[in-house]
Amino acid sequence: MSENLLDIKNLTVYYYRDGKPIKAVNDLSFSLGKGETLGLVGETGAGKTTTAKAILKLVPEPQGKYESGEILLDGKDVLKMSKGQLRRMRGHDVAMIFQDPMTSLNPVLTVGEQIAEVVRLHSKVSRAEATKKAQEMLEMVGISGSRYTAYPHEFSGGMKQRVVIAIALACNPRLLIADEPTTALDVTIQAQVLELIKDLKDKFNTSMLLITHDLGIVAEVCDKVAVIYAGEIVESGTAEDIFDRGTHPYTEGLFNCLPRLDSEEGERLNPIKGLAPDPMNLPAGCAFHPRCPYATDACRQSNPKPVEIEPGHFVKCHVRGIGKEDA
Amino acid sequence: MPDIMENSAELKKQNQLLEVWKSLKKNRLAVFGLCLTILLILVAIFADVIAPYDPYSNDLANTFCYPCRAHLFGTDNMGRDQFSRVVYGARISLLVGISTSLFGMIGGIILGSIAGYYGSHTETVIMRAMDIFMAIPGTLLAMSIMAVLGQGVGNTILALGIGAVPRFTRVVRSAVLGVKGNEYIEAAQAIGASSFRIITKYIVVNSLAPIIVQTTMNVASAILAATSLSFIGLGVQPPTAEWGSMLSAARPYIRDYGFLVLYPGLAIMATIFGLNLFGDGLRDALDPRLKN
Repeated sequence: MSENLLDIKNLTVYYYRDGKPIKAVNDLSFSLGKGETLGLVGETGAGKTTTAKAILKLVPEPQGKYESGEILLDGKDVLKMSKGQLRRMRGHDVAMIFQDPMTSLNPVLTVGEQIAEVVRLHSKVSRAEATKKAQEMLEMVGISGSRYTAYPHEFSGGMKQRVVIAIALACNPRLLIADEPTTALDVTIQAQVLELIKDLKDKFNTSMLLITHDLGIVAEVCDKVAVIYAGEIVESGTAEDIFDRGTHPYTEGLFNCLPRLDSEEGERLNPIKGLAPDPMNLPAGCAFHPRCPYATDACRQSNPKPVEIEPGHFVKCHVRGIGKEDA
Repeated sequence: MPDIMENSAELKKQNQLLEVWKSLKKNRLAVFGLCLTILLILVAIFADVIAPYDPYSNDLANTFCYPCRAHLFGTDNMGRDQFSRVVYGARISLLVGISTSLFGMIGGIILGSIAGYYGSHTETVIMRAMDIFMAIPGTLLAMSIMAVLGQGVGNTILALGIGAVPRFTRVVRSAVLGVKGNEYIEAAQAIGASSFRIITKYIVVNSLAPIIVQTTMNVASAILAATSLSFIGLGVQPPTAEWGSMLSAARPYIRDYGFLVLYPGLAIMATIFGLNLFGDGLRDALDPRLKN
């Protein structure tokens, strides 16, 4: 346990609208070791971003509420931290890269000032030193240090995302949360930005939680993968476990949705039928059962527990999990 | 190379101002308003040079002199030169107008940004308190405050300033609500910035445009309110050269010597007109949605 940087145990986060709960994250657990990269994969609205925000305790309150669970960062529960502890942790121990670089930079400050700001917030350095550090960070993400005085609107999307990465890594965080870092970028820039994140992560030995719905990115970057559905992790394991021996029907469905280069001409894609469940009104039993081709009565009645089908490979499914366990 | 880069950043900054100026320049009425306002400011600054007489010296041999070459706007019941008094009046009016607006702006920024940023109960308490203030007619509120504090320029500013705070608070709050939803606010939280820092460095600076417009418009209404207060005998007291109190002092002679109310009245009108035109133009220039 102690070698894990991040341990999320039974985290449940609800949002409330008109007094009714929106079950965004349900009894979710996972852990992340030092230097590891975990890919959190799931559909839109599956609770990926809420999980990420919860790690920084940034879920908007009072609409959002942490119902139960623990988020242990180096053994300390983030959800029990004081405001001061949270401020010291954010940006210093855990940093976040946001989805849309177009809107995640302050338009009235120069990019350099914004990088220097995080440096000055977390270490006692003079203005000049912070400026120097900010210029170094700019160089590190491939932008000339002389662009220190440029404003965000002078940059393209890819360059802005580089700046966002520079801000995130300026204080050498131990955990980097990347919330769909490439979704808003076009494909050629995606590859560059991913490469950059990967390089810098290795350089600083940072752990990373990569949130995405793009399985290609996961395959390229992640050591471990967790598939999230309706706020629960339905399958987790190493990248090989998931990509080569994906077991859960939802994981299977995700891979069937992908177009393949070697498919026959005229062959159709095989999407998962139905829509992601409404988090205000989750189905009883296993949340996936209305869309699952293998659903049984057991699936309709009770929510399965995660089962370890091989070392480190967990599946939360009545059909697949128990079958393997018995074998 | 670095120098060129820095220069280009500087240029870009200037360009934004230049763009606002360009779109303001297209609006002829706004330029006219700006000219009137600048004229007023110049008159206020150089009052000592412009005014031919001491606005407070009586000349009892020369009372109720009609406008002539010696006394452009005539003289009043004490023989004081009206032109000099109108010129000096610009000082008081501008002082009251600008200080009141700054007072209201600062109060509004503090309350409005707190209400908008924190939301929930804090917001309810602040905004309902502002509603209560707004329910009281402005003049009545100012009169009550003046009645408690006493008369004088400083107290006029305070009374009108308090009255201006609720409107500023509303404007700031709505601007803050718009800015707060941006991802960079969340990003600022995620790097561990304190709430104070986020409000000052991220939220307020990004909601300045509507605040500036409101401040400009408020100068006009504050000048009008201040002259009204002096007219009814609160506010700035005679013999201070102030447009409202000049009107009030000239009232008994309005039938025989109409010019005594004409010139201070015209001064008030021109000032308000100029400021409002400029304020409208500025609002249009700062609002990107109105660009064509």
